[in-house]
Amino acid sequence: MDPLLEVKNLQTYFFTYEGVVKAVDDVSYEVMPGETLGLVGESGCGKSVSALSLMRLIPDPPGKTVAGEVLFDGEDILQIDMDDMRRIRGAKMAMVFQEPMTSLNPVLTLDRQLTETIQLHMGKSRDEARKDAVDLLARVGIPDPERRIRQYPHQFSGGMRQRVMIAMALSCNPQLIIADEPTTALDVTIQAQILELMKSLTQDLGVALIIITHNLGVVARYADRVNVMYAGKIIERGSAYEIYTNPRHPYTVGLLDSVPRLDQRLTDEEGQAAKLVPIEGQPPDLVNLPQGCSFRARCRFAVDKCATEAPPLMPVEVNNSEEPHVSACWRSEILGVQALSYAMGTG
Amino acid sequence: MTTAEMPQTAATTPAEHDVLLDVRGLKMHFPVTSGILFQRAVAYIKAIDGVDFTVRRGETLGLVGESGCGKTTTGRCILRLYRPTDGQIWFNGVEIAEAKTGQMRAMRRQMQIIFQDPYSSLNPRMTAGNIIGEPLAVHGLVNNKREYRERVAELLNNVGLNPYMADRFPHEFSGGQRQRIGVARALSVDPDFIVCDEPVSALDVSIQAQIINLLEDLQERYNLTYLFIAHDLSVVRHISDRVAVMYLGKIVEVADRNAIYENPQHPYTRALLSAVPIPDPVLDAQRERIILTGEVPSPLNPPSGCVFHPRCPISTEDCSRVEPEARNVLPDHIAACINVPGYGPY
Repeated sequence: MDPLLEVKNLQTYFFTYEGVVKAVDDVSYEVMPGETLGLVGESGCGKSVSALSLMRLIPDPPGKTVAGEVLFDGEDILQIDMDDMRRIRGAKMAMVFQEPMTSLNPVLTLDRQLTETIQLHMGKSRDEARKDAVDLLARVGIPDPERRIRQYPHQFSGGMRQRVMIAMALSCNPQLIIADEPTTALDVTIQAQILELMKSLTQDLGVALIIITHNLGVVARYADRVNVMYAGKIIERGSAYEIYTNPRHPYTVGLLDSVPRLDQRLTDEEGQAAKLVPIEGQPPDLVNLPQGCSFRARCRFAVDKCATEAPPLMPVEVNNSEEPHVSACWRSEILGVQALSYAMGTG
Repeated sequence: MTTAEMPQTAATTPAEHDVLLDVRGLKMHFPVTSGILFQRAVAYIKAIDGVDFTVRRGETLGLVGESGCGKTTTGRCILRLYRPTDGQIWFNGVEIAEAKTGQMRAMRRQMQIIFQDPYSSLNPRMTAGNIIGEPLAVHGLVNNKREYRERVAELLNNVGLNPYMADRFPHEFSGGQRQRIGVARALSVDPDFIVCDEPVSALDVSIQAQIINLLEDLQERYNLTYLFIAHDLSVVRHISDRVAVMYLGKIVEVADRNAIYENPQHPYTRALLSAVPIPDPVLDAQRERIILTGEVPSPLNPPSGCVFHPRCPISTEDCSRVEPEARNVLPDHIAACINVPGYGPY
C-alpha cells in the first residue's frame, strides 16, 4: 500500500532576533491510509510546528519551511501555489486544534462556520450544506442539532466545542485529520469521550489520523504507530506495542519512567515508597543546539561518540512487531540489554 | 467558640490518627448578581456544597476531580482566601472559618499554598530572592539583612536552585525552576501544612517528576502535611496517602490510596479511573472502560438527589430523590452512593 502522506527531510526554522530556531530539523515520516499515527514529545519539541508545516500554516515571517517535501497522494504540497493549497486544506486534510475555546469564531453561529467549508469545497447550496452540517453534528454526538446549530460557540461547553471542531474537520470527507493536542484542555471523562469518538469515526470512514500529544497514555490507547520527537527531530519510531514494551532511545525510556502510572508499583522490594525517575536537566535551547546528539547532556548512557556525531535513525536489532522500529541512538542495544535484565528480574 | 462545639474527632476518626485539619459541612456559594446600581444576588453558584474531610498530621490527602468540581475552591477556603458561606474549618484545634483577618494572617504562618501556574503566580517585577524573602519580612522571622539573605540562600538550596539565582527575575527561569521558587516561598515561613493546588499540571512530563520528587523529599525532611489538589489521577496516586474524590461541589468518596485505586466503590470514581489511559497498549486494552455520557452539570442548578445521577451508569429511580449520605461502605472507606452495598453509618 502506498502511503497517503510522505514527509521527507522537513525543516522548519524560525528566524528570530536571538538567532535561528530549528523547530523542525530534518523530520521524515509517512502516514498510511486509515492508520492512526501518534506524535509524542514535550512542549517545544516541534510536534505542533511539524503539523502546521504540513498544512502550510506557519506564520512567515518569522517562520519558514526551508527544505523538505510533503507528498500528499503523490503531490508535493509545499510546492503548489496557495490557491491550490486552499483547495486541499479542509477538503483533503483537516485539522483539529488544541483550544476549542479559541479556534471557533465567537461572533458567528455554528451554522455559518460549518456550512462555509461545505459550500466552498463541496459546491453545495446553502440549504444542502445546512442539512449536511446538522447530520454531522448529530454524528459527533451533539443532542438536538437543529436547534444547537443556530447557537454561538460560547453557548457550548469545552467538550461540545471540540465535538464541533471534529464535525468541521470531517465535513468535507478528508483523507487525513491532524489533531493537535485535541484533548489537552479537556477533563479526563470528556477526553475519553472525544478520543473514543475520533477513533470510531476515523475507523468507520477510513480516515487517517495524526494525534499530536504529550500524553503517553493517550498514544498507547489510540495510536497504531508512534513517532517520538525531541528538540526538533524524530528520535524513535515504531509500532505502539514496540515503543512501550521495548523502547530503545534513552529519552523514550526516560519519558516512560518519569510519568506516574495507574498500574505502577508503589513500593519497592524493601517496602519503601517507589520514587519517580525524572529526566534530569532541561531540554536544549533550539537556537544553540549542541553538536552531536541533542539529548546527550541529559543522557545516562552517553559516550564520546555522542558528543561529535548526531545519530541517525537506525533499526533496532530486536523487533517484536512487523512494523520497522528505528531509534536515533548509538547505544540502543545497551537499552535492550537493560530491558531484558529488568524483565528477568536481574536488573 | 465554646467547648461544646469543639470537634469530636474521636467520634469520626480512630483515635490514633492525629488530625491536623478537620473540615465540616463546608459550603461556598458564590452569588450571581444582577442590576446596574444595586447589585442583588439572583442565583448562587454552589461551588462547594457541604464537604467533610480530615487531613492527618504528616500525610498527603489527594483531592481529585474534574474542572469546576470545587477542588481549588476548597483549598482556597481552607486558607481563607475566600470566606466560606457555611461550615467549620478546624486547623490544629482552632476554628478558622470565622477568624478575623488579623488572626488569619498569623495562622498563615502555619499554612501555605503552592499555585498551579508558575508563570502568573510570581510577580514579574520582583527578584526570586524577594519573592521568597517577602514572607520572612511580613512575619518578622528575621532580624537583619544578613539573616534574611542567609535564609533566602538556604531556601533556594533546599529546593534545588543555586543561591546566586536570588537576583534573577522570574522570566529568567524555566517553568520547572519557577515552580521551585513557588515551593521555596511556601516553605519560607516554616509551615506545617501546604495546599498544593495543581503544582505540576502546567509543567512538562519530564519536569513533573522532578517537582513531585522535590515535594516528597521536603515532606519527609520537614514533616509537612499536604492537601494535594490535582486532576491527574496518576500523579495523585503516586503522591497521596489518602484520596478524596470530588464531583460538583461534593465529596463522593474518601479512602486510603490503595483502596481507592484498587477497589473504587463510587460509580463516579470507577468511571474516572477507567478514563485514564495507561502508557502500555497491552495492559490498557485489558482494562474495563466506562465512558460516561454527558457532561458535568452546572453548579448553578445542580441535579436533585445525587448530583451524579444523570450520568451514572447504575442510577435507580431513588437517586433523583434521595441525597446520598457519606457513609463507611467498607472499614475506613467512605462513599456517598445509595447503590453501593453498605458497611455502617459514617
